Amino acid sequence: MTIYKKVIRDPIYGYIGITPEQLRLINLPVFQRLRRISQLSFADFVYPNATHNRFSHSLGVMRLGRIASGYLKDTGIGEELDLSTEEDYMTIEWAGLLHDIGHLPFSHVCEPVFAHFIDNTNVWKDYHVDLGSRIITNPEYGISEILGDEIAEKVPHLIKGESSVLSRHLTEIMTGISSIDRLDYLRRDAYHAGVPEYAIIDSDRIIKSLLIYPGDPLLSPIFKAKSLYALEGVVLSYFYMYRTVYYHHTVRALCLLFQHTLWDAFEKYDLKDKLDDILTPEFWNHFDDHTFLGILRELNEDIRKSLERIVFRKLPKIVPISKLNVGRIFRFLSNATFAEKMYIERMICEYLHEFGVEDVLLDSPIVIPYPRSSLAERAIYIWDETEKEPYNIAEDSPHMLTLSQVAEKQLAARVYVYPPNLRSNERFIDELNEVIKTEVR
Amino acid sequence: MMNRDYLSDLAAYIVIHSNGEEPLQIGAKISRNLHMPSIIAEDFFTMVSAAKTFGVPEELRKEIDERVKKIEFYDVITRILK
Repeated sequence: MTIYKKVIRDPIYGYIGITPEQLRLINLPVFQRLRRISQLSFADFVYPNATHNRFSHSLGVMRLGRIASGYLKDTGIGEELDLSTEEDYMTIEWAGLLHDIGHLPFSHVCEPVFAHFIDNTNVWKDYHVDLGSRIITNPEYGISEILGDEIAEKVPHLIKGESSVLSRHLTEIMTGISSIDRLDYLRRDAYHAGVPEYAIIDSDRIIKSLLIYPGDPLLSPIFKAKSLYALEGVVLSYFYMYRTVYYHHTVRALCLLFQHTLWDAFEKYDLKDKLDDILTPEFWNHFDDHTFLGILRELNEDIRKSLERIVFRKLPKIVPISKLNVGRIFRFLSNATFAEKMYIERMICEYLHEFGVEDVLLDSPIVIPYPRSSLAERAIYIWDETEKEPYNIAEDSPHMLTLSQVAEKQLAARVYVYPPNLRSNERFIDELNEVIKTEVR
Repeated sequence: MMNRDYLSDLAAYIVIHSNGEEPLQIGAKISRNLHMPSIIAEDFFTMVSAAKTFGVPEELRKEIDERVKKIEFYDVITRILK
């Protein structure tokens, strides 16, 4: 029986038990730092109470990891996934606790810019996971001493979702569309944003419905038929949360503007020089939302002014999509690197400078790392006990079929402009369309 | 294992060659056959949905066909599309 040294009160689950080892880890400065990393970046500009942080989310995912490891152990599924010792099962809890340890200030917003300038890579969607893996295995942070070398080596594989190293089932538990990470953040984000009715999810039922596909454990996880309604709940939550919070037009405007400011800070004002020691504990443990804003403000007057636009909410506005070739923009963003996106946005501004345009920002669901709208159900499979084969949830659920038919055009791509009055300048929009037609490909 | 590089072309290819069948359903079969991790499948379905909504421009079709033919699991795609 597990002995908990502390019990933490949590608004989503009631109580979360903490073992002595987990308490030691939580008390490390590198983990305490997560209290100062906002979970939803700038969502509090629209939902004032969405000020929660990565600390509480990490505890929540650990709690769901505990449910998952208990289920795998009790049902014997764990043995089929090569989990044998108590430590093996604990790895899932540790992974839940540590999966966001590498988040940069303001969570996902900074990732593409930092990946480009700090690590010269265009692959940014899991950049925080990469940073987190380096932190977990760096003995200077003290994590590996608590975990032990073997677990400290396994946890990064799990949070990276490396299916070449671990079974697909374990990686799906951590990183899939019904992962313990998503099950927690959908509920937590909805609660703090003040829209808890948009994320009514039976997470325990979902976790305890995981099956192994008979005869082929490498295939995607299949869920028991009795979890159908709980899984529908997850997909509906994607649908609501995505539209109301994650892809809210004002939230996205703030995020895009901040990314532009950051890009300038690196490109024009040598921000990288100030971040040379970013992954040393002396720097990283203090590198949070507040200190980072301080660094940026002191960097240069232009950057300070640019930040003021964010802080004082002087935001760009969306050009009506009926007037733009949205399909072309979506196709471009599906394939472009973040640097290419920045280049095109700057180029459009230059082409249209006679209109006094200061910023053009392209956006699409494809460039944000959140579950999006109604399509997730296509990747969820239910086990049909009669037919002895899995079927796609979209094939048998009236809710899912309806969701699939919701027009995505409204959300596929957006173009923001600053100053905002340009959105209703017909001549500007004609010219903008012309530039998109010739240059965005 | 599939990576994200092919997704956009593959999505367009499905829409071009769906022959009246629901492209998302074809996409679901392909993702299952290729054992696509669900997190990648989600991006893939977004792209299929967008290609379906906006169509694939005529001038790009030949180029897309050529690129998809070079994908290592092209035989799986053609088998499902038949």
